[in-house]
Amino acid sequence: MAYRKGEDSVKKANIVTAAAIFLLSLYLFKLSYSFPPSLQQYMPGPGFWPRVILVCLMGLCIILFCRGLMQKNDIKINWNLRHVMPVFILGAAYLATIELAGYFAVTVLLIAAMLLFLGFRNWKLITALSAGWIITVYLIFVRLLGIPLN
Amino acid sequence: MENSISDLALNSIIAVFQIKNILMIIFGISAGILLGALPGIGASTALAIFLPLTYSLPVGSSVLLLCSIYTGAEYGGSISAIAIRAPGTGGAAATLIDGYPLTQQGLPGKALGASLYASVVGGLFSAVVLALFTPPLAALGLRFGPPEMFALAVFGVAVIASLASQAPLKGFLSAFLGFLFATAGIDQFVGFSRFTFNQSALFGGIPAIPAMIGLFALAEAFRMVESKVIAEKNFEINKVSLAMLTLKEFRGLLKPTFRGSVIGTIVGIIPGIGTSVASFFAYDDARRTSKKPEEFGKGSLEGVAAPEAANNAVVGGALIPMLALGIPGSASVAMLMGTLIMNDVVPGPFFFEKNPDLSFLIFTGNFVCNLVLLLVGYFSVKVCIRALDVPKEVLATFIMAVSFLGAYAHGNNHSDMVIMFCFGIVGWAFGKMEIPVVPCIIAMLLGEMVESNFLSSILISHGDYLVFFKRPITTVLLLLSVATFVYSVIKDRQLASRLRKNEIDA
Repeated sequence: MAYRKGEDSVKKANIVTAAAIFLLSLYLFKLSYSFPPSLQQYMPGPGFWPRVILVCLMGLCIILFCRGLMQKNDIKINWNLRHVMPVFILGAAYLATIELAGYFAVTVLLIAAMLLFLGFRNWKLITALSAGWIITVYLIFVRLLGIPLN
Repeated sequence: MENSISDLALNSIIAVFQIKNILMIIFGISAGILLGALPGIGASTALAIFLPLTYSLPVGSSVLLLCSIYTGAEYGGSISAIAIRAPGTGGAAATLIDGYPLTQQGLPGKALGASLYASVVGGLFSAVVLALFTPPLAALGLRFGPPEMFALAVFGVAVIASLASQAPLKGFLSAFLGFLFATAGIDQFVGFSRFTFNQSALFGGIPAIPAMIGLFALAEAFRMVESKVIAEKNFEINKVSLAMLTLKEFRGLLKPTFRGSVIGTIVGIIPGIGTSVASFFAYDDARRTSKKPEEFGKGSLEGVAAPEAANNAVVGGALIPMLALGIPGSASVAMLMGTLIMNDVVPGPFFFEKNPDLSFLIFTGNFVCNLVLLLVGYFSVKVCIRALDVPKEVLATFIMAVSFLGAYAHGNNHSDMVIMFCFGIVGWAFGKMEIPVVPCIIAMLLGEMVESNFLSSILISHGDYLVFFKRPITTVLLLLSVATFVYSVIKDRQLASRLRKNEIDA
């Protein structure tokens, strides 16, 4: 199956995901043995239930991993990272700056940046939508519902 | 002093018809119809978007708002299905089979009229069943001990995981990840903080509400950003309005609407099956029992009414196991359950004993939601058709903004936004890899209850780990859970073989 740039396969994704979750589960399983024992007679400690879940998870990952390796047919995944990655970066930048500059200031920038990135060039519309959002949120959440957003 | 049922019912009617609650219902129905009509949004995303509005509302008003959004969204999906052949919700997929041909024949109003009438009847039917059957089921649940509740929750999650996608193994993977996420935070028996990595934000566990907003709403915004599909319309907006049915048409739809209501209610009670299956069952049933089966697929009003009755009946049906046993059967009901838990109200067998007023408020509110749907639905069609013109880019931007707002307003907490964002990326990636998110979120909600009942069972049996196999109900439920898993493995393998065969044939 030929892949263009940005494309991948479900088979590969299954194998990688199963392996990644298995390794994470193994690490957490080992970590769970550092939890203290139970304080009550008959009761297992706080690590018991997570270990049950992690063993089931690792078992599932093994099945999925083997199923992935044996899989002959495949389906393409188009990750579209070129479209989505900038949005992830915008989101991360938003999270990094919101505590410094406050919700309202940074959200105006987020909305404007998103609309610009997605192809809008109508500045009046961008301004109207950004300002409209901030005013609506302020009136509904801060004034009407009394939820602080600073 | 205990209130009598008639007092509780009367108080609930008075409470529902308070101005603020009626306005909440009208707003919820309107918003639900609008968002449900937009292809790709769906009831669960609509609920995730409006979840932030419930943070400072009393629990009763919050539940009324979310129930009305859920009800509205299930009807709203039929508007785009009939008008532009793009179902707004999964439950409307069967509606378009006959709904769109009616539009092509110049009768979109009739189709929309049949859809509204059937949705209201389906919703009212399941609201009555909800009120009648939930208390006895909860009473049955009271006789369940910790082993039975543990086994029931495990079975519920197993069914949901196996039905959530075409690859059931991935459903189980999603469910166990949800259980794993639920273990983070301070353990309830010893008070030790597990998997928090010294992050104070995780001491209380991974908060379910921001996780749900991320998995449903933000992930959908990411998908919209990359999607270039624009829905097509092939008629003028100003020519579409709802048309009244004639008396003959109305009578002709009674049977398929009633049968669809019954099917939808039953399907709604069973966790994991969902509205799309209910609507197709109802469609198929209507076709087989119709006096004019040859009209199906070419514009039969019965083919519109039956699935629409079913998908709205699912709403009331799905509330039954959630309220009576604490088992949410779908993502939408999981949101409702999350809201209750956020307000320190725990659904389950003790819900009615501890919260009689709230129980009756939900019953009455669900009934009134469907009456309001009849009024609001009539006027909402043109608005919804216009809303389909909103570019996906604008929609994606505002869904993203709402998601961040929802997470931030939840606890005025930056870490909730980070968690929501991470779950948004996870939800988007899961969608790419065909891993369903519904089992994950339901397992996250049930995880603490499952662990607590498991450990309580061990404690009351003095350390006997075989206690689960010494009680008949527990044994049956756990064996059914294992059977569901084995069936999923086999089905997964059969699917892989079928795909391989198709490739060879091609």
